Amino acid sequence: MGVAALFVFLAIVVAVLLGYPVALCLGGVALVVGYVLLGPAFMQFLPSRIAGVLSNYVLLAVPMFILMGLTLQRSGLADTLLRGVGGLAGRRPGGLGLAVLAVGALLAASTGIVGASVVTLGLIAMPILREAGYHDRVSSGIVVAAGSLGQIVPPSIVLVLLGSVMQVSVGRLFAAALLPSILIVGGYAVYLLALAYTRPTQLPALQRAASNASLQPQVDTAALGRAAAAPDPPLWLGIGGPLLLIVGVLGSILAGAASPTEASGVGAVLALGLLGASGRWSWRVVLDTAREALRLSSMVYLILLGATTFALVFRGLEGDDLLVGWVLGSGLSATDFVVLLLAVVFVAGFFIDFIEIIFIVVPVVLPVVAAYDIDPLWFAVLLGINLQTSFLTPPFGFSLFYFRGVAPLGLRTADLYRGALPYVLIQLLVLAVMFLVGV
Amino acid sequence: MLWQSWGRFLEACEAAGAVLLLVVAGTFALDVAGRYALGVTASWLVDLEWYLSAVALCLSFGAALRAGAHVRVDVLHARLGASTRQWVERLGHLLLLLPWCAFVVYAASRYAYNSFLVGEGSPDPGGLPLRWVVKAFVPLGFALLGLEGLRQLIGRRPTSPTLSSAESYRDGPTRHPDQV
Repeated sequence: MGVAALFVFLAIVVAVLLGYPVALCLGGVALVVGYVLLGPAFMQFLPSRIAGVLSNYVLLAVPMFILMGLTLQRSGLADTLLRGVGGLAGRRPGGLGLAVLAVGALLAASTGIVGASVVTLGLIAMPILREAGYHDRVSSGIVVAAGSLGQIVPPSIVLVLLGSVMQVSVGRLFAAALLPSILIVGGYAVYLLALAYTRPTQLPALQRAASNASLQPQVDTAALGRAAAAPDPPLWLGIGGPLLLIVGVLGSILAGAASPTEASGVGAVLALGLLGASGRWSWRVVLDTAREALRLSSMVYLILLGATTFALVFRGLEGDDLLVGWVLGSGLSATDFVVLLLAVVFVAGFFIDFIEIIFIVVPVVLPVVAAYDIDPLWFAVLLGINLQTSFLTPPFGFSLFYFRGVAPLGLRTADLYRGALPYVLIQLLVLAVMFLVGV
Repeated sequence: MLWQSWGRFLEACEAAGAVLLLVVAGTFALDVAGRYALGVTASWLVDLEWYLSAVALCLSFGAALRAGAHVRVDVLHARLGASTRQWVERLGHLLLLLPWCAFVVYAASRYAYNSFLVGEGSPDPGGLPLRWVVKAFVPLGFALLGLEGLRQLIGRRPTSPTLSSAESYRDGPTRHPDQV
């Protein structure tokens, strides 16, 4: 039976590679194989799993954060902010990239949901970077890497879920994740600086004229979409608006005033308010924005539902038992086991969402972790870094899928993949450091 | 004619879902404001948040497929010929999309019907009743998805995104003027 589970896995890989939509590959292959091998009675579990995904309170933040991000984009304020920061930092090669990294880190820290932050950043920063003349490889790498920071930078939903499953204090987990977060953001920044030094043409400085234009923004058809006819919001609103949003969202989470999900809803309402303040408000724009947010969200949710179907069948076919059997039967040391498990989670992270991994893989291996007397706090931090890394890794990383959904037309996939690779290496480096240092 | 009406119907479903999504955002704000301004917590608000989100998401499953919003890995895809890509799409719809949708429509309908029979409501005190209404939107959403897939499969001129260049499968309001 376990072998059949691996067959499902491989069949999905083939279907995905042929270019059929990811969500439908996951759901379709798993359902057909599950129906044939496990029978219709077993598959009756599926509706309750689907209802479980739809009623998952944490996941409700995904559509809200997407709505918030798109609304912010329509208001033109985020452009003004990025241009403001970029105009100050962008006079040197690579400065605009560092500005995006900084804004991305703040955004990721406030949302904590990779799909939402990658999408938001992709929509806002990508057109600006392109316009500034950044090579696609560089700009897509920055956006995907900065957008994925939400996995590990506290307050991270991943860490909250990991803490609850592994019965580790979430507060201690946040504290333990601070060091790797700083290392990762620092590593990204060092890489960007090095790249700017060696290949300045790929991360050009803003031209003087362009730099002035960014400090006093003008109508920018590239970044504003349909609302291009409206005048640009003033700079004070461009800086103050997003700050209000960050304080409102991140602040209320940090102060314990609201759960991340509630904060996401409040953030969406605040963003709508900012749209009003920017002078771009119209019911037409609001409805269009909401429709687009819903369309992107339903794409993300359908992937989750496909992953749920896959997870149900994979476990029904005892694919996880097969994996555990291999581990225990092989006489591995604790270190070997952790390395092997990180590798397995890394690969699994290509296909199934972190929620599936946290709720399916982790409980399965938890007894083994306890048997080996491994520090669960250390293990949870490693898993967090590891999941973030696999989200970034071509060709199947989830962040890449989410980014692909909003990337500008004409972006070559090869550029996206090559752009993400250096950040994957930085991640693995930090993972190795944390593996050796401990928490 | 029929195709056009179907397209308008899917768009109407999506627009209705979009309005619900805006209502959900307002509900969250009300929830938080109520707790701090009035010191009131209402578990029916929490229920309302996910009820409406779930309904909104299900309503747009069909429109998302129609718009070609779904992500694909185009490493190989981009190198396949147009007719091969069309075959991938047709085979995928026939062997993967339709079975998945058909089964979920069947099983989730039964699931919702059982919920209706037992009068399932929120387990929390003060929560909302009528959970079957939300659950009924799951088979509805997958029916929209499956029917749109069927339309693309048998349509004389399928609006399959694979017919155009592999890079331009996205459509809708995200398309910026400089990306056309």
